[in-house]
Amino acid sequence: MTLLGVDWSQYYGGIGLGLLRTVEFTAVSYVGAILLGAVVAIGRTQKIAAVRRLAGAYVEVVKNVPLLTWIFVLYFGLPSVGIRLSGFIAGSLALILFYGSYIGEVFRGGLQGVGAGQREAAHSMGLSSWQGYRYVVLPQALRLALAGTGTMLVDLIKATSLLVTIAGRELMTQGQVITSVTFKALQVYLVIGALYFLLCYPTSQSVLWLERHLGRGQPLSLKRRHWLAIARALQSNGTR
Amino acid sequence: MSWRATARLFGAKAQFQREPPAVPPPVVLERSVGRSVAPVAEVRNLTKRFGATEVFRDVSLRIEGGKVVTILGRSGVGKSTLLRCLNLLELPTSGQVFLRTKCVYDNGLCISRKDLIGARRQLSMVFQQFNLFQHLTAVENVALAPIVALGEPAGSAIEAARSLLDHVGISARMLAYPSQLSGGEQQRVAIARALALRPAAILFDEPTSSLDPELRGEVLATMKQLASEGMTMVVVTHELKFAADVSDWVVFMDDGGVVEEGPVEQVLVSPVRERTRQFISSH
Repeated sequence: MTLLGVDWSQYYGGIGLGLLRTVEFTAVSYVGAILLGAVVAIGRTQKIAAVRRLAGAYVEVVKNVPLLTWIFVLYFGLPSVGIRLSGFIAGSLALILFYGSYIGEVFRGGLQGVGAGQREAAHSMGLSSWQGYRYVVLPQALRLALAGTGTMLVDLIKATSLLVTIAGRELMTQGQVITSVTFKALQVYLVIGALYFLLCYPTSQSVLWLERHLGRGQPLSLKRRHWLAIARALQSNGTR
Repeated sequence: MSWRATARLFGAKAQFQREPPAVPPPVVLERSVGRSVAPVAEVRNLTKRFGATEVFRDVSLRIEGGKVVTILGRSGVGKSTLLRCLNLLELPTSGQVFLRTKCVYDNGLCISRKDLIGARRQLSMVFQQFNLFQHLTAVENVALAPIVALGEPAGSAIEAARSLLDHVGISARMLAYPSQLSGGEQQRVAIARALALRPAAILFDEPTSSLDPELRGEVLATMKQLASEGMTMVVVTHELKFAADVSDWVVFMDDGGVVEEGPVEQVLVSPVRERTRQFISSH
């Protein structure tokens, strides 16, 4: 197929691999960043001041240095102290470290957005700290954090393009390869940009949809789905 | 060094320990009916400080089964704090707290967190701001603690929750979320939620203070109904008329602690202390 004066058919394979690689980077980094973010957020809301400060320092240091710097430190810097990471590992790790700090802040906002009264009510009813967390705080915090966490996913997809600098072989790297052969930078990068758009737009729309869908009490767990079903059945019996 | 002296070394911070402190339980009273009853809850010489600010000092109070105790006083004299010390949502600075015959707090020493969780179920709480769980329907709000904390099967817990909502006249709205309910309805759900744990007493922390005047009636009516059914209640309130109608015992607090306490006829009708008189005439 020829589009914008470039015969793309010979690059299908490369673009396909690039897309796959971009998705892989995104998936691995997003899962990692969410796990790290959860740890950071829990750390930042702890009673123990040392834990709180440690988590806070991590967030501030990582967030206030460009992502590209972290990518270079991990990929080009570490070998000089004998640690050689593959492009995939170094790239993913940099994204996890960077987005972990942002997502940690989003989660912290969610946790702190659940009023102290909710936790207190849970405690006064004899729920343990963990039960209060699991059944009262987390479900509400997740809803509050949903929008921010979703935005981070879209941002992360785009940020994988920075890995072109360490030949991450993702979509942007493929664009660079094709450009170096065709010398049609404008056309190639417009198409690559369109491909990023095709990845990001549906993602951000899905996040919006999720947000609307989960806005009110929509059950997040199977257990709650079960409770609601029992309650609905009871009500329809009662009104008959 | 005794454990009490050791505890003092830690200052106001309570130490959680495995074994409850060895303190004689409250005296069991012989009632005229010949039945022996221990108070549902009791505090002795309770003092609470926030930093350098002393909220109250040396407060002693017995909550007897089946009785309604109201705590009156200006805003900021520690009525709510006293209530919250009763179920140890707030830790006192010194003194003792008993639930039934069990000493749960003794001069900076507290029973273990695990025991505390169980002990708290005996005193459920109704808050000024309702504090309903926003992500759950009314009926789930009521059923949550029985299912999660008491391990009851979901089916029977939810059915029991529905009857409790029925009891407070709101079962038609059982699937509504708190944001869809009026303040009065939310507070009645909160009362049903407190009842769900079958507590020995319910603590009400200014239950009508954040309600519009026209919504207070329904909540007060529900509370009166509970009182007439023999529920033990401790009520921090500004509603003098309600206090006069349902109280068995009235406690008046002012700066520093309890100024006067006694039956309604004494405290509300012919108070002994000047400060009580002023408070009542100003309402």
